[in-house]
Amino acid sequence: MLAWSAEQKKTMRDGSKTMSKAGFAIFTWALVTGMAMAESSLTTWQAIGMSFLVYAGSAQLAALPLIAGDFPLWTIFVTAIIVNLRFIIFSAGIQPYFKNKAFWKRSVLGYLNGDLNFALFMSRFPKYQKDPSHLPFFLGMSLTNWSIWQIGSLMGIFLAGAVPDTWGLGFAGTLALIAILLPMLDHLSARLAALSALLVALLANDLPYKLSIVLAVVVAILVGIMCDRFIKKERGAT
Amino acid sequence: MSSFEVWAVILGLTVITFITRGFFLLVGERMELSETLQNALRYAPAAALVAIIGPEMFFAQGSSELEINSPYLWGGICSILAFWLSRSMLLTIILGMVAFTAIRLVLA
Repeated sequence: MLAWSAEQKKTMRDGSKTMSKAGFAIFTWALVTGMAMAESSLTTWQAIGMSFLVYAGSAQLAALPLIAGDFPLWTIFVTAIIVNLRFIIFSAGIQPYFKNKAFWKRSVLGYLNGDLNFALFMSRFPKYQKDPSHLPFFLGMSLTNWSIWQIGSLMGIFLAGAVPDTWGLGFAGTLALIAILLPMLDHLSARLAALSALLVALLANDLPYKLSIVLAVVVAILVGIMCDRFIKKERGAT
Repeated sequence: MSSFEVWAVILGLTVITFITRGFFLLVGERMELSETLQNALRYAPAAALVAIIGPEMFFAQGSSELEINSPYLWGGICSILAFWLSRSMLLTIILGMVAFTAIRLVLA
């Protein structure tokens, strides 16, 4: 990192700024997750340990009722793997950008590649080409994400109970996600893909383990590709 | 669950985060992704966000009943309008929360 050019350091700050725009969403989500951990059967130290080590909000939230219910460990692990299935798709997305880095660097980058990080990275660099700004931008984003998440999560752990549930603070996080989502829907294929993802997510909401997210992603990819092909064909025909 | 078991769960979940998030990065140079697949993956992020946001807006918490008269749905719609008009994330959140809170108080 020390050998970076001034340009790359600037890119890292740029990445950090990009993630900060979603800071409120990250913070409120972390706050809600922290509160949920503190209100579950975990001790304060276990909640802090889970926040710093696991660093995966939806898997943490899914695991809490299972821990409280004394479920066998393997059930909890299988649940977490399924909740995290989407990350395997995400890791394939960023693989071309970092495949030449050392193993330990790739491990760290993968660990830090959460939902927002992936979404914002791919919308900034939609197509792979050689570019020294991938790593600094990614690190700027992911370290900012990590810091805001841990601050929110710790505050949630210690403030649990002080904020009434009825305020719907978690919903503010959802609204921030809307502001992140909408700019991505900048062409017809993307809009139709997102619309089909919405329908699938609503229809499949009863599926356990957040599988609805995986299913919605798969259908959106298929719809997106089909739209691209159709549009290409139409253009070719006229 | 004993304290030891809870820590075993936490460590197990840590390993799971590490392996799932890093999956294709960890196998590294041995795998190449085709351009078709890369193009396809471009639609994944928005879809995942939609799949998280959608149920929050349309369903009552913890159920799969469509709920039209809900502060979540109307708060969400107001924030979408606010984003289209302002392009500002802060206004999107504030106007959405104002609508959410107003409808929640009216319905209560």
